[in-house]
Amino acid sequence: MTTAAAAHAVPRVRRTRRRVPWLDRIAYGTVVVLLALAVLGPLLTPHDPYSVDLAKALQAPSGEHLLGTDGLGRDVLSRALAGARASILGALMAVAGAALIGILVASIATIGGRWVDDIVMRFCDITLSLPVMVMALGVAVALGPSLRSAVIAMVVAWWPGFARIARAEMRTVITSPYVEAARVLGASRWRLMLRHVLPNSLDGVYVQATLEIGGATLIMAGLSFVGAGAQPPSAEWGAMVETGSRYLTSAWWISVVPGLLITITALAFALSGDSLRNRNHPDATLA
Amino acid sequence: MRTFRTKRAVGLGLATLALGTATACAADPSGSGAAGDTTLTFGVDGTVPNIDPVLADNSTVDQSVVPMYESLVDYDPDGTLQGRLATEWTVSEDARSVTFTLREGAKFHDGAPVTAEDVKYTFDRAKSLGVGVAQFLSDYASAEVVSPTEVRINLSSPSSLFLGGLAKVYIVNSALVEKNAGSDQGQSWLASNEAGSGPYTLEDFKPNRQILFEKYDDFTGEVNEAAPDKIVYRLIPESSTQREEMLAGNIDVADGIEPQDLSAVLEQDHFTSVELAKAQGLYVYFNMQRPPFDDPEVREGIRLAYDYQAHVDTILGGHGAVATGVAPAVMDCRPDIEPFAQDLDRARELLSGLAASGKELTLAYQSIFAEQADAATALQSTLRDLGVTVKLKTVDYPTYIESLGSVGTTPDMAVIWDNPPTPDVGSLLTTRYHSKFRETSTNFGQYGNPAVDKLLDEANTTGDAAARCELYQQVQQQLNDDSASMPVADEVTTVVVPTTVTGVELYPAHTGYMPHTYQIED
Repeated sequence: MTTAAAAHAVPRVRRTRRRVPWLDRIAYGTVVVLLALAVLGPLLTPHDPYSVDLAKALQAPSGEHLLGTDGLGRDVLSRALAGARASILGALMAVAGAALIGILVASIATIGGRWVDDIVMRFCDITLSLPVMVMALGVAVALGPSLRSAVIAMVVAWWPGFARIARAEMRTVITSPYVEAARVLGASRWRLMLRHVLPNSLDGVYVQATLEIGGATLIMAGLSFVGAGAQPPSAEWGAMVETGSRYLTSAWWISVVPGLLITITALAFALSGDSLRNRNHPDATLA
Repeated sequence: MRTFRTKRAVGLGLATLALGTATACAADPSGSGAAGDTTLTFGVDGTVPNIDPVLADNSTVDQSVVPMYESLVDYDPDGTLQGRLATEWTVSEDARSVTFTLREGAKFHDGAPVTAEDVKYTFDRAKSLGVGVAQFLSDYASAEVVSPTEVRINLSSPSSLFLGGLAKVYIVNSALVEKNAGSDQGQSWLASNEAGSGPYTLEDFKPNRQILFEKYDDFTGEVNEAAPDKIVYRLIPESSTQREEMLAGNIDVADGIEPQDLSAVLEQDHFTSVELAKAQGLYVYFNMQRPPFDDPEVREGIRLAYDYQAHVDTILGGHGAVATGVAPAVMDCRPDIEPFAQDLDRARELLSGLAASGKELTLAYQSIFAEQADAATALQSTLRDLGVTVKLKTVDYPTYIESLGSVGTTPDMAVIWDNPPTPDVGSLLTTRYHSKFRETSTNFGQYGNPAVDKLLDEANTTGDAAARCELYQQVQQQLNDDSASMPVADEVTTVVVPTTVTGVELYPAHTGYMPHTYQIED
């Protein structure tokens, strides 16, 4: 009786928290579709995405070429599908790499004592003070423009953000009573870290990572757009927008199709990340 | 007249905002110059990190130094060699020396008179630096100062190419350069300063961004009264950006607008276009000192794989023609060579060995130029269909030229625009295909063939024009049979100018702008 009454007393809060809002559902669904595209996209292309056929250049969308052809007669739909792998998996790898390094650095800072912590975190602050795009651009150009350089550059520019979040959580967890208890029982630093602190402080990193994939897609496309990322004839979306920009007034589909895909990807991942964060910290307001 | 000024001021303002820097303020003309000054703003593609006139063999540098400097002689639009700083010249009986008489009263921008000493200094400097225009001085032995206005140039061997090559050897103020020589013969100083006697002075230079020239009032050469008072070069490598800047009124003149964008620009009534059939073409060069391109059959296979007609129709939008030999069609002394055409079956046959080897080839191109990027991608795709793997590599021009310094760093293949050093076809054939220019950055394919060398040497030392022509034709036939390079298409350059501008003409020795020859109507 009492439980039923309690449930009755707070129905609104519980219901909204349980039910996933429709926007979030769309976002999750889109993410699933995009991930499927990233894996299967290159297998689904109706035409060879890299085959140049100058006689068919700049054809408007039609039955044969659903999304038209580009300035060199390549099928835009096929290129968009083939490019999903580079664009989405590239961003995922960059974020995963950055998160891993961030967690590692945060762990070192947490167990390494005050000096190590100070040095590592001040270094993070310095790196964070530089805009991600500028830093990634610099690193990518220095490494020689390629998709791999772009991913490495993004990892280099992005890990400090993850390190900060992970370290903040680890600081909280390491002072919690159950960690104290484990310490009193004689657990070593490493054991404390691996068994107790790490598993309990990664929620924030997961959420942050999901949130950042959207931004990473944008930076990845941006790097390719300015020529520091994927190189021709790669079908990476940012590079596609760039090659199409010459024809924007006469053949809009070349740039608009990959441009829309970039927008959708960035939005879907950002909304999913937001939704995840809200479910983790229901009191946090949507930024 | 005033419209140009206002437009430019707005343009600079926008550029300042867009780039987020305040550097353009220094060039703002509103504080200087009399009311009614005319200004023409040019969109320049390519990169200009350095304005040392010794590098004027590069057409982008050439168009950046040509308003400020004078050479001894230059070609007029009708193709005749005319005096510039030199009023007359006499070639000695044995063709081993040339005596130049300099223009009376010619002055450098600091007021110092132009003397024979300056000519000697310029030639010696270029020769000892061994870069850029030094390629035109390969037969230069020494200079003797006969009198302040007379200088005798001695040649190591008679050369029919020598005089024409002087069109881009710009005479520098020896006293001024010496004063700032440092340890590199003034290279670092001249990289961003000028020491010329031309019709314009340098007001401002921001490497790879902007150059501002102002008319030199005491110019004693042939004065073009209707020339703009100020000339601004804004470096805008992307053609789509040039189009936008032009439509926004931020630049007045552009020669890098893509064919498909021309109509949008010309719809605006205040613009008109002038088509110049320049001696410029798109080429693919092979590194012929290394496998697989040491084999002429492999080179021929690559040449037969490309669809030239589609290149002209689609990539050039019809503004050009399929190449018919190593020299652009507008040049003299060319043999009759059929335009190259695609033959995939024969190409597949010739390239079967290369395809089977599985070797990955590098194809270098300049990504900022759409035509080169398109051609590189199209060639890569065709070769992929034939089983040959090609990796595209973007380079900038200075890096490419540097890589030609040795066979080891020269890319397997390169798609590049090329233009003859001088309007004399002999200069093109000699600098690009004579083995003595191998590993000197002018023999793009590192080509060497004793038979060709012999023909070229013979032609270059012959005074008889008809005999020279005949020899050059033989050379071109031989180069074609050898597939010594892959000429793709001859270009037509469309220069878009305001309707008030006239006098846009083709000066055969200069591929870039000749802004000091433009005339603005009132």
